[in-house]
Amino acid sequence: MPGDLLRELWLITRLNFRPLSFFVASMLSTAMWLVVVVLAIAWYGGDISQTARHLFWGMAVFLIFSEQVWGAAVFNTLARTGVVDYVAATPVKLHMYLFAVSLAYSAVAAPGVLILLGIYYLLLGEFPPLAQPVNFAAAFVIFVTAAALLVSLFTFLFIRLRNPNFVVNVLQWAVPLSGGMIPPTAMPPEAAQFFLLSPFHYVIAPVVYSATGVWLADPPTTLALGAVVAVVFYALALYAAKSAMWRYRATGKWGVE
Amino acid sequence: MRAGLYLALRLTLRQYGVLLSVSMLVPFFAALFYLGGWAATGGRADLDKFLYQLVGMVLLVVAQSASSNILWNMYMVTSGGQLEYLAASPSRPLAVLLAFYLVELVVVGLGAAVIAAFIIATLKGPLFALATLLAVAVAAVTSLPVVGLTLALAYYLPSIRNPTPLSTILGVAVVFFGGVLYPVTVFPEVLQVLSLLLPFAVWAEFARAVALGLQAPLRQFGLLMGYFAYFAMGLAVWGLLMRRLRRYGLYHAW
Repeated sequence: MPGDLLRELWLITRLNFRPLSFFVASMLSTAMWLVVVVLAIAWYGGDISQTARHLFWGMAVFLIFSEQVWGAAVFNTLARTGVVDYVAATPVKLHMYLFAVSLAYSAVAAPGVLILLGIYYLLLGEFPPLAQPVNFAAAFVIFVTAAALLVSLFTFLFIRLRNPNFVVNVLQWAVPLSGGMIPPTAMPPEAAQFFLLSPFHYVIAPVVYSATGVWLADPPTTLALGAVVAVVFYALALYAAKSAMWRYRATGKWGVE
Repeated sequence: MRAGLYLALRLTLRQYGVLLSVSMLVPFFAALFYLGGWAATGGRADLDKFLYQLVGMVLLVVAQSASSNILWNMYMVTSGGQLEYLAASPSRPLAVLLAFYLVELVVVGLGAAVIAAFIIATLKGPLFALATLLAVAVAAVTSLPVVGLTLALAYYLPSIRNPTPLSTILGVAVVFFGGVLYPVTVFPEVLQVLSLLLPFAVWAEFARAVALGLQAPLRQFGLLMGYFAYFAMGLAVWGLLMRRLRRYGLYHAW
């Protein structure tokens, strides 16, 4: 697993950063998009610095998750072109390989998050506050792990679709939004309660809650439920990988071919 | 142009589902900003601002077709090697690109406009739905300066070899300076002047006045026509690009 992670990280980093013009354009557009989103929301009458403070970590979470999901969508092409056949032929466990790839993609999102931090500092003259650093560290580890496992699970769906772009678009928004990317604690309580019903809430929102210091429910319980949700995602990813391998061995296909 | 329209229609209709999903993103993003505004103001978000951003999102779809999509279509015909054939045929490459633009406007732009018009009709009345459709038609006609800017940037496509950096920058410039999600008056003066120099904000304001104000602000008409200089510049640069490609024979350099 560490070997898989390092190899995929090296490969994905090379693919993402080789054309410098791409990287510079992406840096610039990320920064401008942050300003656009904050202005578009603050224009409704909210305080700009307060809006930025509430939205920052939600946007960072979105950036990481989005990178992971679009990275997983590439497996549609990899299955079509036979690359996944080579992965299946190696001794590596498919679900662990996909988990390593998703983790590598979340690491690739790091420069984007750093750019967001830089722009935030330029705009407001301070870094976004971290009200509860220990809880934040725990919440961030739970988020990255659970998101990588969830995206591994989604990969088995993407390799069965002819064109996964629409589904990827839906998932990249549906999961962070239902997970509390826009902090439910800033919403009226009647609306906020609905977020407690979403499993994604327990792995995404704690990042935002621990940064702002305002929680919808008891912090240790929320974090413990987040860990449970991550374990469930692992079990589902393992089951999906075993089913996909069984189907591949029986038919020689992943679904998209 | 007729051959280009036929080609664009065939290609576009093959992926109609995906294109229609782009139209569905219009109310989704407008609702998302409204939700954010609702949370930021403690549940006191103004519905008129939602409509402002809803129409703005439709205008963004039109601007996306006029900017990023033209660059990607140019890349498609260049990387596939068809540009050389198109340049030698009676259907000129520019006419084919514009045909693609026209078809995308009809398919994606109309889809987005109809969805927005339906929402606006529900909230403000049927007259505003008609005005929205008219506004999108006006925006389509007056988007030629954006097309011109794109054609000018396309000059760099053979050296950059991939439209991603150009389309990313152009796309975010439209949304940042375009006054589509917020009025440019929220900017400091320097950025307002910069915004006025680009052909986005006045274009969006004019179309929005038709859709939500039921009026065409004539005082902006002169400025809007002035931006057509961008289209003239785009045509001139496109001519230079084609001459360069013919001279060196590098129609599909990648």
